[in-house]
Amino acid sequence: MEVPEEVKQSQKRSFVLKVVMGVIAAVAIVFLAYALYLAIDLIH
Amino acid sequence: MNRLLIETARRLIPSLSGRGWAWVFLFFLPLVGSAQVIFEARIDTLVLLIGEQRELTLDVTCDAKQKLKMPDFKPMQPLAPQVEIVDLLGTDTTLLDEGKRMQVLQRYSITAWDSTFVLLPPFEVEVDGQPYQSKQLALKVLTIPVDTVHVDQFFPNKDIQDNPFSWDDWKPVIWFLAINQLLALLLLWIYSRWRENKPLIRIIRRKAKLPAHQVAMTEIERIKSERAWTAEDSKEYYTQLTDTLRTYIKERFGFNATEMTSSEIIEHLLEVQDEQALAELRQLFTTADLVKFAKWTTLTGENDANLVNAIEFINQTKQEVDPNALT
Repeated sequence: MEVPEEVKQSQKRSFVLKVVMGVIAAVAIVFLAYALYLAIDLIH
Repeated sequence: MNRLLIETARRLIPSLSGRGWAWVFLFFLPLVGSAQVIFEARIDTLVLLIGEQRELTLDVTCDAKQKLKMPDFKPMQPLAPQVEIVDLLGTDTTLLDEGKRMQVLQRYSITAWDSTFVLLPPFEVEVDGQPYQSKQLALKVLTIPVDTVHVDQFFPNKDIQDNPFSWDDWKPVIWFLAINQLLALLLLWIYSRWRENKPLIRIIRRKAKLPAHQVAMTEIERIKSERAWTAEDSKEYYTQLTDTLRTYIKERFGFNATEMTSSEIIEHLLEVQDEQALAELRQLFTTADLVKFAKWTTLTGENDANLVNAIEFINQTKQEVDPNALT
């Protein structure tokens, strides 16, 4: 059974958004970790 | 080499006076100087506080083609009793006289551990295998002065001093946290779009609005070509035709013709058009009302005549749009 074009588009969009969210989350975690590292370094 | 040149000149020109010899020396000086090796060692101070670090510089100037071997001191290597190398600060090479000569500067940090007068032994470099020595360097090392008057007055060690607070130190942290907040907001927004199964960017294409007369003419063309209208379906034919005209009048003249009766429309149009021009339109609306509400049967060709009247009315009242005008 052929998957309708709209469903394909929706699945593709969902995959792209998941990838984008993953990248942003990874960058945010790295930034947060580095900010904490700097803050701890300054406090000590 | 200087002495050899001067002796040669003295033999060749025995009658020269003292000033004359000076001129001869100056004449040959550039020839002599070009091959000369200049080696100098210096410290940026003569007096050093015990434990203090100062800079020792070995400065060699020679021909660029000559092979130079500089001393290789290691950290903690003693130069004299209680005087030692701390670190190599760096070596700089500068080409002089358009690349014919070179100057090599080797800088060390040194320190001393005893209050004494030290005479550093001469440093040695090798140029083309020939050793060159610097002068001896004198160094006076001072100790911390002791208060001999109040020998029984002792002070404890000082506490660790806190650095003064500086916003500059915290700026990177603040920036990173601010960027983090923005990223978190962006993440939330994308997450909400993902939950709603919507794209991040919606592309909206604005349709260019066609002029009212073009819309009306297209609609009339459609009515005309849709099918061959018979006497039985005249009601539908006139309903579509008058609806098209009402929509056109509404768009063209700016009053709500779609919600008005035929006579009200004519009344409004009389404000901008003369009676003569509206006679055919009035006829069309009257026929349409009769067909729609009084089961009137139209004569052969009357439908076509009214269609032509509608087209003429649109053509007479249409407003051309300037293609260069901004929308």
